[in-house]
Amino acid sequence: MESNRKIVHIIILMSVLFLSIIIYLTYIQIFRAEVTAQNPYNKRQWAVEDKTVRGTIYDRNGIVLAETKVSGDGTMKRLYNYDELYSHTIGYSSRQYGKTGIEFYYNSDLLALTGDNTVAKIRETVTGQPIKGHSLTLTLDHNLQRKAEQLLKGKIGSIVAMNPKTGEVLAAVSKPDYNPNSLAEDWDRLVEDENSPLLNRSLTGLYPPGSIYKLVIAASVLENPEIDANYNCTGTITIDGYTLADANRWGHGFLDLKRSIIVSCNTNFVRMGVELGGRNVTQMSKRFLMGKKLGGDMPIAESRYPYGDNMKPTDLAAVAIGQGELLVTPIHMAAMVSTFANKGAMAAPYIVGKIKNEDGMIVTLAESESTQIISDAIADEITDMMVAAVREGTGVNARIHGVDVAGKTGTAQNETGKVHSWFIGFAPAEDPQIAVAVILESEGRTGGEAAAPIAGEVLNEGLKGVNR
Amino acid sequence: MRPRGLLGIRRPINILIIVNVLFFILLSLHVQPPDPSILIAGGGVIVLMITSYIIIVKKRMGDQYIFLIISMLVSLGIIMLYRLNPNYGLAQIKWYGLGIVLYFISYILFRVIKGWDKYIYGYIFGSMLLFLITFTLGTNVGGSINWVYIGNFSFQPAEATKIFFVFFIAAYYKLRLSSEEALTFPEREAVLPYNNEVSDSRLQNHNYPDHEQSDKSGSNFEEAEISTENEAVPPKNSADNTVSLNSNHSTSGFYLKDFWRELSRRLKTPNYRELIINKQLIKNKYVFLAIVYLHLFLLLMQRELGMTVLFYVIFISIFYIYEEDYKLLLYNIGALGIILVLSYFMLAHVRVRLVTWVNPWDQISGKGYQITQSLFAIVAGGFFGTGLGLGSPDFIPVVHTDFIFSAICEEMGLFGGMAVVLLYFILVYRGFKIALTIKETFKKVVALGIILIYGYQTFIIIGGVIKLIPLTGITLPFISYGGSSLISAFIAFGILQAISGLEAGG
Repeated sequence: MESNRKIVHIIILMSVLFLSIIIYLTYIQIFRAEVTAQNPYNKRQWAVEDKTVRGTIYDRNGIVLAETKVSGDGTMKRLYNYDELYSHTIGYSSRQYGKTGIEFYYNSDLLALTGDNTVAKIRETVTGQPIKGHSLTLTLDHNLQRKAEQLLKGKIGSIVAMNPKTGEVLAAVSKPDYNPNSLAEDWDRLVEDENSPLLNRSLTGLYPPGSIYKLVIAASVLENPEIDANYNCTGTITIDGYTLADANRWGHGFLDLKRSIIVSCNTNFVRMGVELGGRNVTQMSKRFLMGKKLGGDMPIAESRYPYGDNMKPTDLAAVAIGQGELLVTPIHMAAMVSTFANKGAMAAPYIVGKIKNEDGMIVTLAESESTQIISDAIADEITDMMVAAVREGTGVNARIHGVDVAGKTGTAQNETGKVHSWFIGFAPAEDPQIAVAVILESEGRTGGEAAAPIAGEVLNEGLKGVNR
Repeated sequence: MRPRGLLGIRRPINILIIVNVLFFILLSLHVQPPDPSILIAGGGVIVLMITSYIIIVKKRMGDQYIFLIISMLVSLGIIMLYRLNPNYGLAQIKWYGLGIVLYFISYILFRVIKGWDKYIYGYIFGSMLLFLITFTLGTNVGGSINWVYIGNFSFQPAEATKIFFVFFIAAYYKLRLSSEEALTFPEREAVLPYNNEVSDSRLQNHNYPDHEQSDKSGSNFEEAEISTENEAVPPKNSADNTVSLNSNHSTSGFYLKDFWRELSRRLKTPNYRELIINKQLIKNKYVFLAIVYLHLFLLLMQRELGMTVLFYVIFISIFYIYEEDYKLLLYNIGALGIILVLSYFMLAHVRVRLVTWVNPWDQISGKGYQITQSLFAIVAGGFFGTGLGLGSPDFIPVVHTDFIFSAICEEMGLFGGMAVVLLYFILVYRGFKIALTIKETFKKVVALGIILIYGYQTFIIIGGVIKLIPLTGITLPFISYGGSSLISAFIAFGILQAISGLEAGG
């Protein structure tokens, strides 16, 4: 019968509909469950949280940075012992305002939802005692963090210091900041503030790198010996009809690559960038993870590198001096400069060193991961140029008595009209212990004037910490 | 020969008994302090189930699985409702009992009363009366006018309209297809006024030029041709028409004004009685479509989005099965497109549904609240569920009606949810199997209609709460809390049971 044939079509349709329900449910459960469950609006998390004493957070030397106090009647309160100091790194855990920072991305550990806690759960059920969350030991050094915060006080910007060999983040400061202990009182002001104090600039602030990007171009030049680095700088260079003036309008005269880094010569880098061509510049940038995930345990914004192998000469000219559409995060720059300090290998930055359960047993121990980006020889050569830049070039303000500092300044043009002031570097140059990236947002002064002295003090304090 | 189990009946009932015993014991343990009344309630459910099943088997009432599957679904619902709120659970058990009684009554009525296919006007009248009641007495609940309160008693008329609607469509096709068969008896042609209508539907396929002409008037059915030709119509009637009307080829189209002129003329002649009584007018497919779309329009006016969609898909599925005019089918699907686009721009609540489907997370504390809470519940369940009573499904608004599936997913897990979906699937499969074996048009369409109602309704609400399709408020058949939906479902399936019994009996 004709109608029966068509009924079969409807049966097939119905089967497809029912099957799609089953497939979609499975898809949700497998691929969407984690993201959905962690949504701050999911009240179920609070149901677990009410029964759990959130884990304590320590610095690398065991100083308590955040802890949960349980009062007599069983109510719990999260305390941040150093107010603003860790506002962006540790973040906050608030019923009203959700979670950010480590409180957010290590939430399941802090609530002891990871690892095997069956025994603890049974104990909790039997005794009625709340579950104790896992404690986190950060890689941060409290003294260095405090120093960095003091240095940045009153400014807008970020400082990231890390161990260039392991990727351990030693200090991460973003200004302006907020006090996680008084979130409720300050919230309206924080949200309205046009300087966005809630934004973690270290991980998610995107800035043009300016001259610090010349290190990446220099690495590419060294890999391509056919590019002649020697140049007579006259103060201007014309690319595709556009004339670019150097910071030094009289010109730097005759330069080699090292000299070009020392004085931070724009014209020579523009020329070399154009000669290297889109393929070389893009390949080297991608190797330094521009426009890619940086790795590590933090939600770091990807730097922007919206170019391919085919670049217009004007784009090449802009990227060669860290301008154009290239945008980077401060932590990415710390990782980048660490590459030169670590024999050409980039270590992924991480902030949580170990996770312990309530009995003190280690649940997770962080391991450093690094990727070889450039050769050991090229890294050494660039380090040598950076040392010279601090000894006699644009970075003199970062000098530390008795220690060789390697560094590079940057002064980045941007749409605010006031330049960003950059400095990236590490020390000691011969056996690097600490690397740093400093950015002062719309500071209006050059990297050498404003960022370099701050970086020098951070490096100095960091080395004291290593020697302690 | 067959496997024999409890009380000498086939085995599937044992599964139901085991599931119910286990769940009710779990429930009674979950409540602190333990509540023996839960066990009594559970026992009641099991006894009801077994007794009814024995009656169905012993009295050879046809398909033996339909009742088992719906009882399984109802008992899952009762258990979940009990866990959410014991009062809901108890009330649902009462509705279940009443539902079973009505199941048997509708079974008997459908078998005893003959000629269900003759009351096409009755079905239309019934629907319209229910709409009238809803519009005059209806209360606005959650933006839709769909509940009628009479004293302490409240019900949702649209639930009953579903059954009227299916009977109406079934009666219509019975009327049309049987008159097409009548064509084989030439002597009736001379007697019955609708013989030309018959030739109309037959000749249509050969008569595309006329069709295309009339189609120019627009795809809207109201303006489209309306072919109610009758030999009694004087030919001069069409003199001012662009389309010629002749008695041999009585397929020509009329425009709306011509239709009214024609109708008023006919009402003045003695023929109008035949026109109505012989169902000449109603048999016209455009009149049929007009009535179908009137249903949809009225539902949309009540802001019953889910029901509107449901009625449409039931109609279009049956239309697809029985209508040979594919062009007309396409026009109807096109009409849906136009209605959707128009309602998107004109009705704010339609827009909200669509926006919260595409991205509910943007408005998580506002319009996207329900659906996101539902998704939280589903993912909280994981594969095996949190366990009965250990989840927090009460975070979802209206969890006991529209969102009960999310609660099942939370506490019984993905596998529990899949089991429910598969139960519906088996139910739908049994229904289709019955529909396929029936030869008589009216019963075939009724069986199909019933199974389509519940198949599509299940998809619409489950798809909605898991965000597969936009969420439209409609109950999950047999599981959601509510007397109207449960009882209408039992009545519908009682009829299906009767139809399956007829088939088994010959």
